Amino acid sequence: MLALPPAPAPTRPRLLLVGTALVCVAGSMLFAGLLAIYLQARDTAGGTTAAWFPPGVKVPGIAANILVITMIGAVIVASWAVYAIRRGARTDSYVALGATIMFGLAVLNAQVYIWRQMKVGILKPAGQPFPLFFYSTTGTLFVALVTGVVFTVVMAFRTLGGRSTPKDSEGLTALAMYWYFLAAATVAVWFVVYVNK
Amino acid sequence: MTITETRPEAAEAGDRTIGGDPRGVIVGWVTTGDHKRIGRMFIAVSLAFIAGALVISCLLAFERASTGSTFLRADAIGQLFSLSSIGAVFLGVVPLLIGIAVYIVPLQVGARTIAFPRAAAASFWVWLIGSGLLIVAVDLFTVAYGVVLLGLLTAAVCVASTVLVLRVPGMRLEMVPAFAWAALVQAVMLLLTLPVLLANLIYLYVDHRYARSAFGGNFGMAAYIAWATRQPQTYVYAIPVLGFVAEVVPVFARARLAMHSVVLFAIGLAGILGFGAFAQADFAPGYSHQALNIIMSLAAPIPPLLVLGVCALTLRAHRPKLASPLVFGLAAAVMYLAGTVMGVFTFFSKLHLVDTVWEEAHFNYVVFGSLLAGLGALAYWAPKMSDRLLDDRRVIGLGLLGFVALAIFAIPQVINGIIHQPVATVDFTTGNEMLNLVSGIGAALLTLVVLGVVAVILNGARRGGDSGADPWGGHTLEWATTSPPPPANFSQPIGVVESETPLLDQQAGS
Repeated sequence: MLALPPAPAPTRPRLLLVGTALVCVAGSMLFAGLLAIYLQARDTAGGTTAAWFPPGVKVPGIAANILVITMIGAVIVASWAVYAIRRGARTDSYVALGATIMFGLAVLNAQVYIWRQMKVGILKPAGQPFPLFFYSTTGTLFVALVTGVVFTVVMAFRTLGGRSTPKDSEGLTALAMYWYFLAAATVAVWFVVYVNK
Repeated sequence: MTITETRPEAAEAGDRTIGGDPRGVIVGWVTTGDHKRIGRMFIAVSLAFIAGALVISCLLAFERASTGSTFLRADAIGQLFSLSSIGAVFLGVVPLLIGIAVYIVPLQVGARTIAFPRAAAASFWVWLIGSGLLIVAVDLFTVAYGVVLLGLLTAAVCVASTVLVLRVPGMRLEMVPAFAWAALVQAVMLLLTLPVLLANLIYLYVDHRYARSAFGGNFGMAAYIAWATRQPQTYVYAIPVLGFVAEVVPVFARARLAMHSVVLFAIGLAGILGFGAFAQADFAPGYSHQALNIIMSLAAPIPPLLVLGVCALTLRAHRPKLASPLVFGLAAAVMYLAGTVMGVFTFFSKLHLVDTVWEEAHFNYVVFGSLLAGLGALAYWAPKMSDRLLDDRRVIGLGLLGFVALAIFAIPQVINGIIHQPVATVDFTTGNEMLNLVSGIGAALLTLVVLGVVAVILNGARRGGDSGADPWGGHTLEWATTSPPPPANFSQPIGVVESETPLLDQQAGS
């Protein structure tokens, strides 16, 4: 038997926080890879010329800007949920989590609206690679956003069930971290795909 | 307690199947959350895939040796080249080493379970489903490849979180055993690089599914993801080699590792130098001449040299006991070093080694060198996994045969690379057919080594257990518990760890 000095009382490991951080790192690399390949392909096609961007297609700039602003709103209310639960304001944290879900759904709605407004198919017009890269990048972001909404719903139920407390707000902190990652990814995609095209 | 913590009773439930689960054996394995079972499943399936990848390598080498007559369909040859390299890495060596880490790392850091045990179980099944699709469904290649990566990434998160968060009190990060540290570094590097490969695959899938215009259709796709099986990325897959050799050398030298911190630094450096996500020839054609890439390739031999140097210092001062893990570990480290040195020569443009079978030889040294480390790790930790010592004389013989087989496999490719036989094709005008035949024989021998180790393990399982908790005189915490470990890994609280070799400290003190 190993005879070592007795250990102090165990502290609760911040496992979910570290695991979420690792997932966010991997997710950041995913979007960095997507955008790097996007930019390289655009450069190869000669920049934002007709060889890259289909003539006649308009990017709905206002909707894209609203998407980003809504995303920032989601981050703010997710942070509010953490702030509230740490101070024991459970009702506030319920409201904040509900608002986070609503903002997340609004972002998803904005993305679908943009896809419908773009009126550009992956196959048509042929020759320009932009649609392929546009749908791949924004589609991946859409999946990441859906994951964020599902994560928020799970944490909301856990909070309703009393599993989040002023002393144990790790789950909500991890959730807020994931929304920060989503916001950073959304802003990067917005800048590269919608602003610079 | 958050949902991510596994309660002791849950861990016990995961282990109940060892003694017979009332729900049935199959249900017990499928629903297990026990890291020891998950690790064993990763190990068993990946060994089967490795044997398959080696058989494909054999067939391709024999095809190259038989000019004028072909026994493989022409349209299948390109797919077999892709499958042999992707299969060897993502269906074979990486999951083998991850499986060993899933089993051993929680024990080494004194944890009662792996972090996120249910996610670890899911990672195995996701990886297995993706692997099956990758083999049988050619049209789903990109999707299956992506699913395989998702499984491996999930396992990497579990392993990294275990080392970062679940260490026993007192075990600072610099006190982590070399193998656990290598598993952490590899997991982090996989998390930094494989998502970029996933990004490649997303574009390839959408293009292949809808447009087939941007990436060359079926026959052009492989070039865009080839960076994942070329240097420097291949070095990421070999990081555990350094951790394993640094783990076993002091045990069989019956001494402390000469410079533990230097080994940790070298392993960390190997991770940094293995970051290959930027080395995408088809997206950035000039990357091979970039200063950063050249410096990284020139520096790649430094980590294995540092680790082997520390091991030599440790061995020089003490007469080591010859044992199979030591033979496998040193063979793997030498092969890894040989691969990194070959990588340096690739960048001498006047030698024209790029796109020749020289690159295949480099791949084989690094990736199958890692396989040798994996087999050595199985021999080393077999008593912990099954309470059975393997027949060490036989395994030593297999280790030596593995070293020779890998040399026979790769050295002919080195020579054919120098005379510019092109990579990944059976159509060539320069290249020696006899050498290709010899290379195929080497691959066949290596396949026999894998099957031989599996046979020795199964034979040991039939004979029954008698190894005891610590048959090697190990230094780290996994040897402080029974073999096989109890449901929550340690039957009693461990206490505060005060060095990287708590068991050796105890031996010295008693």
